[in-house]
Amino acid sequence: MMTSSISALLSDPAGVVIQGITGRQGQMETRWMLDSGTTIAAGVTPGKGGQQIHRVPVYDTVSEAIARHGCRSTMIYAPRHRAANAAIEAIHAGVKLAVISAEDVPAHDLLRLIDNAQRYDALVVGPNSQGLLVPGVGRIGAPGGTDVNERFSAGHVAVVSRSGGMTGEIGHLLHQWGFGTSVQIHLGGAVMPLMTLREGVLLAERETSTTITVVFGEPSSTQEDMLARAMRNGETRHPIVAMIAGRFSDTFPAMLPFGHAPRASGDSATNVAAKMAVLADAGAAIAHNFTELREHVARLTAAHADRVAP
Amino acid sequence: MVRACESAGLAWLDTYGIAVPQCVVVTRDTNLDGLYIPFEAPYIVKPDVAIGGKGQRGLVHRCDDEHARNDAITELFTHTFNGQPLQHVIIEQLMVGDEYFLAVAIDEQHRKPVLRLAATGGVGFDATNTQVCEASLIDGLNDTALTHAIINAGFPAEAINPIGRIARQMWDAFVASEAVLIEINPLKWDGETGTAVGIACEFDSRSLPSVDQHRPSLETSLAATLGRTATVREEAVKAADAREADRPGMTFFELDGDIAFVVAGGGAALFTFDVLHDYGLTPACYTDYSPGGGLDKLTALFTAALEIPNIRGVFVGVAVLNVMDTQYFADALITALATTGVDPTVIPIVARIAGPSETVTLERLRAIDGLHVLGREETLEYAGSVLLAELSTMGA
Repeated sequence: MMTSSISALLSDPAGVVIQGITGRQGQMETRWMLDSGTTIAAGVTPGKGGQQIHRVPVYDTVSEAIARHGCRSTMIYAPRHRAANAAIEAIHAGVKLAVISAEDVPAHDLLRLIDNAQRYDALVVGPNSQGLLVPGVGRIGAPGGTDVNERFSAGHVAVVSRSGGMTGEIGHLLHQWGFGTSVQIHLGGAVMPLMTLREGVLLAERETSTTITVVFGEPSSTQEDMLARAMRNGETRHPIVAMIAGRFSDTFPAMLPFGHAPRASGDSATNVAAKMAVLADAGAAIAHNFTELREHVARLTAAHADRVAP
Repeated sequence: MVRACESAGLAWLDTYGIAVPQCVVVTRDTNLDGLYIPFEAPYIVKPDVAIGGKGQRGLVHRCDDEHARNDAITELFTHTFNGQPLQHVIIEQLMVGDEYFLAVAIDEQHRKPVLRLAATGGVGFDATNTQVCEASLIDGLNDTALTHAIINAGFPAEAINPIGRIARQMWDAFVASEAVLIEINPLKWDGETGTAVGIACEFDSRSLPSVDQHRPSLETSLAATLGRTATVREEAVKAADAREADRPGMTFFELDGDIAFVVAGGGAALFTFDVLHDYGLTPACYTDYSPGGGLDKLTALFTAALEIPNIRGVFVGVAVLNVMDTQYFADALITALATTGVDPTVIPIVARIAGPSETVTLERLRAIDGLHVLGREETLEYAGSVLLAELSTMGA
């Protein structure tokens, strides 16, 4: 298992490689990443080697870029049917952390990617991830858009979320309420994401500044159940506040496509009430709304004040 | 995910070398009296639809003669599925033997494809009570692991090789078609041959179109997703989504409430829906618009939501966006208001919008009489309370 934290990877002088840097989204978000302090060492777009985007050199292949710059992280803007192969190429070239922006990546592509990531001891976030952010250090991807410094501040609360919009919303609210963020990880909304809630929480806890983790879950998938098991097994170290949206959906037929991913018919583990119950049993504080979220974070911050770095 | 009906699934398995019973599909217009069936009674008669649990629901009939068969067909055609009258019935050759269960599926917990096998099966079988054999799309199906799973499942010795062969044929079909699930239940074992009598199969709708050649024909109607006939507004949103299939998609389906609901993002939509429920408001629709979907899709979504009959309020929610310009929401809402004639002074509309160009967007929307517009300084939760207050005021 890779042992680097997100902030360590973001601080890596070798920098980050951007696959698909010459596209509209790649160019725009590369500018944002540079502005927020992330070192972007290289970009990759097949057939466009030799160009420069925001003074970042572009290569034809990711192996060429990594051989030249030694990057350990990549942000991938390749389209959905090429995204998994782009990540696999990067992992084979030595990348240890890849983030995939594209949504609707085919499931069989994801399975091949998961297999490769496990064999090469790499972490992959996504698909459909907005990216990762450590306020004051940098980001991979788009969190915070053009006003990242106004929306987030450095602090002790990690946010790990299956929803992109709610990742940003929660980080922004924490900032408004006077709490800073240690790291923000948007996992993507797939039933079988490349990084699960459990893995995301464990990664967030590698940040030395993290003392509380807020997780945002949804109907579908058994990720919340896996996180609860990890909490009970003592894998997690810090208090967790869990907000699982979609309580209303428990009362509707499973076939209705609420949220990012389909719910399994008759599978009680994908029921929101069951997810909240199993997380509460494991010791998580459950927030049904933002008011409760604020109360839990304030209470846990006060209770663990000795752990918060000055 | 998309599914195939039973007859298409069985014909598809046949192309991979898996034995299937002879069958004939009849429609509502088929003249049953003169019907030629190329096999003898008894017959199995069941609805030819892409749903599971037909046996448990009493929809699978064994018929010992032509008269009973025609009665069963006539009775099945009185049923509706997904809100629509049944269109096809399948008449299947009765296969005799022990019932087994075989499936290959993407398993979320294992994060791999897995084969599940059991030397039992049939109606009401619990698929969690099976031997599991993990596989890999890189390495394929491990012969040793498969053989162990078959032996551990308790299949009779003479069935071990044939079951292994069928499992490999299912694996080939799974890989070529990028399936999510292929389930044979039951597989009838007559002591020499295994015949797939019941099949459920699901496929990834995100695969490249070139994969379609390896799949059966699939049920892709909105009715199959919703479990009822789609409304004209739902069909309109689906058509708008399909027109720009290369852009992020959107979801829209109607419910029995009276608050039109348009929210960007799957998680934000779920959260906001909970908020409205907690306030005692009942949405008339569920929407999920992925930022990046473009103006035409967003306009179609707003128009459909505002066109729902008898709505008494409208909620628009946008969690803080990173990339998408919020002016798209102003453009789409303004166009939809003009198209539908919804008057915000009569039907309260609350919009909470945050993200790029927020100031300009809020100014444009605040210029519309009666519209309640909130920015990032207010939460989605608070926006719900504003709508509740507005509705209370109007009610008073």
